[in-house]
Amino acid sequence: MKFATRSFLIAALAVLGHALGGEPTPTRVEVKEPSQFIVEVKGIVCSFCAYGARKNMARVDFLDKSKFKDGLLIETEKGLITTAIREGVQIDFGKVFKAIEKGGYEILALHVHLLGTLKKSGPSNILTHAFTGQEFALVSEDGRPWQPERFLDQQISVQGFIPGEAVENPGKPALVRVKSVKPAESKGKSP
Amino acid sequence: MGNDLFKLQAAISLLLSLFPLLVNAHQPVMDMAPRWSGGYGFQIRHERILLDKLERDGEEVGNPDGLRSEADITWVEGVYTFHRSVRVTFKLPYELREKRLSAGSQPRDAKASGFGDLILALPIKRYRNYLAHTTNLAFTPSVILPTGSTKGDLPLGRGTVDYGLSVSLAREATRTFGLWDLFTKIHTQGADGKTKGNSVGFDMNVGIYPYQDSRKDFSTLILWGTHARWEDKDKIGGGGRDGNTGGFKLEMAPIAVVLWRNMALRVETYLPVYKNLNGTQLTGSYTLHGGFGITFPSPTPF
Repeated sequence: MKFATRSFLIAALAVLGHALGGEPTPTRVEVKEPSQFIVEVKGIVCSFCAYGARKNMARVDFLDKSKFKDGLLIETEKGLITTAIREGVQIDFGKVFKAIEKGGYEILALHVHLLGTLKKSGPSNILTHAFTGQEFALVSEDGRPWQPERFLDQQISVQGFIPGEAVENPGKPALVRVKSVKPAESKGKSP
Repeated sequence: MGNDLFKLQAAISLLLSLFPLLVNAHQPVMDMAPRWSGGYGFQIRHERILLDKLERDGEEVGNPDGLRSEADITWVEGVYTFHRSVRVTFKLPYELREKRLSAGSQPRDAKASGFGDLILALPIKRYRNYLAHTTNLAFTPSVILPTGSTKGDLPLGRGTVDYGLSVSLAREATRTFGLWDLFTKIHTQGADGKTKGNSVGFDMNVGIYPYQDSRKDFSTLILWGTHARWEDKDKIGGGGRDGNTGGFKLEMAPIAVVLWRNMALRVETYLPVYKNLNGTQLTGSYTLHGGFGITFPSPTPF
């Protein structure tokens, strides 16, 4: 009876945890190379279960399959999928979203390392990523307008992310929240 | 005369009682995959069951006639995932059964082989995903179809449509795994007027991943299984109950799983811990299971 009671209590607590568990927030993932982006994925704890997500991601045409394993490094212990990008090919974020979602998981955030010259275009701050030629609109980390006057018309290196709920339709150009920015050749500082 | 009648009653009960004895609330593949839309998988699982001890009212008694029941059951199983929340599964057993029966003074051996009853199920899962773990609550109705032969001394099926229902919770992190499963089986009346007793069971598998390397797509999982099952007495004609059927069993199982890429290998052995069976029944020392599963991505672009 003691065993049955203990088992029931553990199961009951697990059910409660399942129902009440809080939502995680994006972590401070750093993308080492401008030729990569990192998807922070919720629920990806086992590579056997992640097989479908891996196969889906391997089908996207902007993957550099010469890097990692078919262009992907899946780290289940951190919940991260590092993706190697082909030079000169733009990232289709909608495909990334579908690959992960149909793989059975959810995106918490998509982290990028952008390298390019920052320009003003009307109210928007636009950076053309040198590696892919893709344009990105930069905002501050909390999503509010960003005032980067000291970086305008400069070559900068940006660590940023697209929140999970925006990855499917990140906008044109894609809206990226800036975590840190630095001139392209010196150490970084917060925006 | 009393002893012969007892043997006859035991023989009849044993004839009726050897249907899928264990489990099987678990779903292919390995209760985990495929999690991805359009994915599918297959699993081959083998059970080896040996019952050669005779118990009466909970005490082991002599078995001078060597009454026994052996079964080698190979389950062919498959799953298709429409979406991580909705899957459909099938389980079809191929059975090789042998039994020594006794009616009167002459022991009699019976053998049978062939397909048993087909089980179809519809696991409906609700996932909650977190950064370091994932949980799912599953509701799985199933139906057991009469595809097994009902002929001879050792029928492979019951000839009835029966129903199952399972409610389960699974929680998986990078280093731990837990599955808790409450299930029931409801049996309908057969053509012979008899109805196998309904059952309620509880399964728990908890364990750890002692090794997990996502770069190599390789991991090992060690689990401890607990299986509890209560089965009602069979109903026989005239509203009576067969006193030599049903009861309660608690079993424990060490379980080992190896996962590599899209393949999984699982071995477990069930050891009886506690029994309270009605009347006189055959029981055994252990049951052995081994299974291999493989999953495939969706053949169409996502």
